[in-house]
Amino acid sequence: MAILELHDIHKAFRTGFLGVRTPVLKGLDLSVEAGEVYGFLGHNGAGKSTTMKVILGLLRPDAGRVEVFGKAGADRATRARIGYLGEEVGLYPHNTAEEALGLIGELFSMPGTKVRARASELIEMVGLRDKRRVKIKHYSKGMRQRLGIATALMNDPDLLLLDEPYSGLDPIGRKELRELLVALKQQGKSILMSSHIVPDVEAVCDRVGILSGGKLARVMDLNEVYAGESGEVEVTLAGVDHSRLQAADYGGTEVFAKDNLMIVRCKGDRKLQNLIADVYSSQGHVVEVKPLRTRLEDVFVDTMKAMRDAEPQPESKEGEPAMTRR
Amino acid sequence: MRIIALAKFTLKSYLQEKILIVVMLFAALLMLSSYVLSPLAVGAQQKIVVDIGLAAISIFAVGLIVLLGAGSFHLEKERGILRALLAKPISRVEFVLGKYAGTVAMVSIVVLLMASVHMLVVTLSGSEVTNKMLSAVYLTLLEGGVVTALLTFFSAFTSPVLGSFFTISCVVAGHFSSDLLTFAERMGGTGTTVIARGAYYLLPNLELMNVRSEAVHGLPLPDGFIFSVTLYAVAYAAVVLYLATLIFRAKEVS
Repeated sequence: MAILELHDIHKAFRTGFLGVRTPVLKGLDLSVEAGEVYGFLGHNGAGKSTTMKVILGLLRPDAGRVEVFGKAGADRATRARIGYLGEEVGLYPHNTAEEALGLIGELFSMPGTKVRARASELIEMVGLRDKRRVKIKHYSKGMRQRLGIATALMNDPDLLLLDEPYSGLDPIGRKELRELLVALKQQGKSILMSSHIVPDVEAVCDRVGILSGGKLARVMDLNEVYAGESGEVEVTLAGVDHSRLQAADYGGTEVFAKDNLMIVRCKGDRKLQNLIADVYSSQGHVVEVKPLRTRLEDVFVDTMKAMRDAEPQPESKEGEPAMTRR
Repeated sequence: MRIIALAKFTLKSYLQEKILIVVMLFAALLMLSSYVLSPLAVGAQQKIVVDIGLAAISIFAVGLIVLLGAGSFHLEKERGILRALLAKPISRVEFVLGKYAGTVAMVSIVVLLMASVHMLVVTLSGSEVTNKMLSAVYLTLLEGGVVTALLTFFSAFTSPVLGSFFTISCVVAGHFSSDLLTFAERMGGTGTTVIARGAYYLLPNLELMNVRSEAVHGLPLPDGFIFSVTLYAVAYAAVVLYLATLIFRAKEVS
């Protein structure tokens, strides 16, 4: 069952002195199922944040329909079930983490005891316990982002809208957020997460939509993509004599060979076992075995290129080459 | 509940501003200087102290509303606070009222603190604190409420600079609005009369909230004056705030 649906959303902004209308969304259709983590990919300025604001009713679409929890638009009751983390965290700088979460709790009409308990739990979860009484203006970008995540979770939302949630986080913070998102998914939360950092999306999302040209250029079910893969692996070997070890003997192909280093691609568990056994028996060793997967990053880049190529080229004057965009 | 929460946080954000302390210190200094310099005005020392003190309270209160209020609205938008708040189950009307209440609370604290210093200076100068002085302070609070409503209205659709400019213009014109009526009566042309009369009724009559002369010279106030001015100020602020909420509800938050 879809928990969030956007139908043919159009949105343009007036820009410049003359107020020329610049379209950002041009017929966007999007659907997020209950309990699903949906990755919303797109380059900077593609319209990801605009989409989130349209969902929340902060911006009105020029055309199209938004349905959240089966109801048109995001009224107050609907917003009470949504957690939102925007591009900027949006917190009063003179507040402490406890105070900021206290305000959010009051806005959700939560009773005082529940606000304090929930705030304490979330501060612990995002790793800000030692800084909970420090003013936010003294926080680093990553700490503010962690607190922003806590504010988005304050009302224990059914739907989370996260706009670039990994922004400003250090590697530990990114790892913890990934784990948190997986945990939230296991709790049955629905998440729409925008990003232009593909591996972060790839790590947690069930489905991915690529926004380009104001509409979804491609939607992929990552589980299906990975399930349909060949099972081919790439093996990096060291200390082997590549003139004696032939990749073809193991049903594979040689990708790289220099000195005593070799990279071989092969398929099938039995052949891989034989290869590894032979390498060790000839005093070599295996450096790495990694599955050859469809990389979302490649799909993303290919999709963006395809969309760019499909754009109509400006007309050229006779005898002059048409300008191409890169 | 949500309005109170927003008002509380708005007030707290104002109280963190260093400029607030600076302005209040300056106001206190001005009041104390009136006490020190008043012997120069032979025979009118006490009047000088009361006049300068009450004028300082009114001017600094309005100044702080414009200075802090306009910036506050702008910063909330710039820092994404507005967007984050409006993504929560809070209506635009609640947001406007919360901001208004927080700003009025800040002005009330400032006015009451300055009034306390003023009363101290008056007592030091050997005068008594009269009911009329207290009335003047109360009416300054009402003026603060009206000016905050105007600032809220202008902040709903303009930049901080323009919002401040329009508010100050309204405050200045509001203190001279009765002159508009006199002007309209003296002008013969229908068009000019209509425009002048329209401006008179549109602008807040802030001079109604100025009883400094009465306080300084001990002149009587008409019966029911304070009550009727209170009604006028509350009604005017309510209409302006209603218009502000209408504009703010129609506004997109990008």
